[in-house]
Amino acid sequence: MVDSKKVLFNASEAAWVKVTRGGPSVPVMKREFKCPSCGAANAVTNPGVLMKVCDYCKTAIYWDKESALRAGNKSVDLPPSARFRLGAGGKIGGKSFTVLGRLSYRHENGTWDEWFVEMADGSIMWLSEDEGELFLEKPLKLTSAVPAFEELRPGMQVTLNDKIGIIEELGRAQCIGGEGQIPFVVEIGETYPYADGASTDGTYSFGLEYDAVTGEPSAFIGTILTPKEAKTGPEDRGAQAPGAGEIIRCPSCGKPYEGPREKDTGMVVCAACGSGLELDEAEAKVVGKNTGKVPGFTFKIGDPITLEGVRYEVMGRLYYVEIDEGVEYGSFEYVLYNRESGYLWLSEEKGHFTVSRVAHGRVAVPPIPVARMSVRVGNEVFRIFESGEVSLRWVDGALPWVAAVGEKTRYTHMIKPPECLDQEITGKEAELFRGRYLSHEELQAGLPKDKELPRARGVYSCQPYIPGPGVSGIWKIASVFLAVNVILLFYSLILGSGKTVFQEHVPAENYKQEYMSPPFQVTQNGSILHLIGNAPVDNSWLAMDFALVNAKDEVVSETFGESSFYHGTDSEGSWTEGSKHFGSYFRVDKAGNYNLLTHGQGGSGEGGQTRNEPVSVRITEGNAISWYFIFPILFSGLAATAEPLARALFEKRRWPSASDDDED
Amino acid sequence: MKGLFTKILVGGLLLGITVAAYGGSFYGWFLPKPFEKPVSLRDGSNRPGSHGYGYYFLGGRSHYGGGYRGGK
Repeated sequence: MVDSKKVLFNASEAAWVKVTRGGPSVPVMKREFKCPSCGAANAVTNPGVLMKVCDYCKTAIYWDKESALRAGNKSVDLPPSARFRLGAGGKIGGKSFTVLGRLSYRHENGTWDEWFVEMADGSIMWLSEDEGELFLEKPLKLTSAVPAFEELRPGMQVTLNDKIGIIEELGRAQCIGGEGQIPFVVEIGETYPYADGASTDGTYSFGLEYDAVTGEPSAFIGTILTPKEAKTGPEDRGAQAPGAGEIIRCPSCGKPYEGPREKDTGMVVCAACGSGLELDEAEAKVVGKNTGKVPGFTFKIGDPITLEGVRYEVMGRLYYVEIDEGVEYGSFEYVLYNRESGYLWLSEEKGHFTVSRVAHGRVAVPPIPVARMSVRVGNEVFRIFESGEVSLRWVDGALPWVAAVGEKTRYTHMIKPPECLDQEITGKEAELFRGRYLSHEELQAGLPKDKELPRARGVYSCQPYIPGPGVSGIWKIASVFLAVNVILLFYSLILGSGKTVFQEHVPAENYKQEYMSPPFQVTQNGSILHLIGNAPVDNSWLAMDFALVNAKDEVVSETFGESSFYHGTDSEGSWTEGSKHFGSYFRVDKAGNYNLLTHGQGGSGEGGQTRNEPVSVRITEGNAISWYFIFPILFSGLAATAEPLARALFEKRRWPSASDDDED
Repeated sequence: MKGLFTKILVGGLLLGITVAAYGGSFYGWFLPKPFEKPVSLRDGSNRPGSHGYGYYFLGGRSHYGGGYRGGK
């Protein structure tokens, strides 16, 4: 058994000759040899190449330590890639490269490709392409022990020298073939255990490969690239749809599959009988079957959806169900694909949509997730919304992985509206999806005009609160009025207490008839006068009438006041009622001299006689009645809190189950 | 459009009650108005319950036609 991806050999310098490529000014090294299997002429152009797949018979050709050629197993015909092609030129982060070779691997849930590209300085870089994601990788010499393959679990933390990574996927991979020049020695057909993962912050990927015989681990580490960070020119990409011209027949019903298919399609579903077909290099294999009625998907296979300026097509559809306390909850998932941008996941639940991409990194989900619990993800904090287990009820179209009806996925759904994070564990694979809420308006803008979306029900977990037109911005207006009225209230309190223009102690013998006070002066037209009275009533009452009399002995205004104060004790203790004070405001139109005409009567107990209490009367001028500002303060305060109130109600609807739990 | 209408409506309402509060507080808009035509003391008050001996409050204008009998 040959260690996979282990560099064994330095090519003999003597065998290399200088040739030119792309013009006389660009000399490159080239070594020609004949295939030991078919005798056809082959050439390698990079000294770092240790393996070549014969261009004609697809046999793997190796150099051993003595520089002799050795023929290995034959490669299958690999489907063309939509992204790269042998010999194609492209750029990684602005640096030019040429595609040298490729290896293709199959695992339990699909396939992935490894592309070997030669940079302008002759160095070879290694691009892994898995379910539309790209990783720029290099070998990592392990200086610390890593766990044996059998000890690894999805989501487990492992230490790689000075780095910490999280296991995302475990499996056994088989090299099914290759093409072109390869800087490693890999036996085609060889199967080995592997683990893939990413750093805790999602900034780099890593892989562990275990020798099938010795169990010796080797590691590689990579940078996660966006599809746009490494690509070839349009003229160098696969010209035709992968699989075009190749008929997949359903082993279950014999009907041909005519739906979409891409290079990295791992499974398709027969439209005739609903069988899920895992695509092998040789034949399709049935991995499950849809039964019952087609769920009410909003989109059909092949439907175009434009999101974030990219036109995707619906490649596959899945319908998951979750049963909670006997109630079945369904959710739809659409696998969208664009050759340039890769895969995108569109989810639909209760008429709400989210769009997600595969993410990497560590999410410290607690063993028992509780709703509203905070989870730190890098520098961000998400809150756990729910966790549970869903079962795949229906799948159709084409998928980049193998999804069998009936398979179960444990999930934890975390939110930071409008964003969401979903940790999903299916079998030996732990995946992380990061998404965001997609409003009907945004989704509708990317659909054909006649396409109708289902009505959204309730508030979705990561739905952002968007104030309605009747609420948005009201708080700004209301806050201005709130501030103005509070200022006016204080102004009226400070400056509006008035100055005393009249004060007199009126004995009972005067007010019992009618008593005209000495004159006093009101200095301003339209003054608000405040009459304040006080009588030492004690379990008695005093009712006073007042008239403001001008210099012509004419009454211009009347007002009244009442002192009534009672107290006592009963079975519940002592009590008091009423007040010894009274007051009233009244207005005077004209400045001038006035007299106060006073009349009063009183009593005590029930029908008791008056106790003839005297009354003190004071009149102030230049008053402001402050309490009027309470009304606009209340109204503007209410309007200012309308939006936060609406937000709070929205949040309450977002967390209905959690609220119920709280109430319990 | 609906939002603008709501803003105008709420803004107008708040402006209205602020102006009303200002007028009420500093100008006594909602206080009982002084008599449009001053009442002679002798005519007496027309306040209900005014009755008695011919004083302004005590006499009332209906029974005794009295008025103020005190002196300044």
